Amino acid sequence: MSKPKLQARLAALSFTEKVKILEKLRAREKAIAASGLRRAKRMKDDKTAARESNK
Amino acid sequence: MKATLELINQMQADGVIAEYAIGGAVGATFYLSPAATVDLDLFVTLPGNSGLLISLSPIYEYLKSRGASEQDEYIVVQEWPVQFLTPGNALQKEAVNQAISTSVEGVPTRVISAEHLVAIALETGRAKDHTRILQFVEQGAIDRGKLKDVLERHGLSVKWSKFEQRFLKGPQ
Repeated sequence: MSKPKLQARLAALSFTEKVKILEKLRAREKAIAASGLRRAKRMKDDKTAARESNK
Repeated sequence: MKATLELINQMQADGVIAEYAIGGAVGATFYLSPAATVDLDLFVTLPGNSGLLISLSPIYEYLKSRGASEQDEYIVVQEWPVQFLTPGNALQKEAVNQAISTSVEGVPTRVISAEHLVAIALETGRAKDHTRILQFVEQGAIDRGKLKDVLERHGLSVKWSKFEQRFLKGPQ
């Protein structure tokens, strides 16, 4: 399914259904944040940036 | 969110707030495909409020006595971080007055109209606000005539022309 079609399909859902999707997205965000993956990636990115600036 | 809105509605019934309407990303979700957000933005008017100094303390006290907790600029109500915003100008007051009635899992609530959400986003003008406006335009979620009226009423027509020129009429 194309992105515009998928967007249109999602936009046509009821507010209740959309809010349920929001809640799932939020739960996923929280799980990712709690796992420390983002922090680990950020630290890696910071180290890479520091190495680049020292070159 | 059902439980959050139930408590907000109870707070309204108890006279702590006069009117409220959902704005921000959750409000936009009423019209668009859902996008991840961490918080619920609620525009609230307070009963009998006519002074310049507006305090949100009664709201916080009411909610904290019912289990909510403060977290940075939010108050977490039934697991949803809520940011209470009092209308700061005529546009935001009109947005709350003209909000659309709807429901979430049978719980009645109100959402700011698409045209007012776009006007508020234009007025606020951060990068994420511009992105949201583009989503409204691309997904055909606004009534151009109504938007024009709102923008004219609140002195935002020039800003909209600049936005259009920059983001909607640029080189393809």
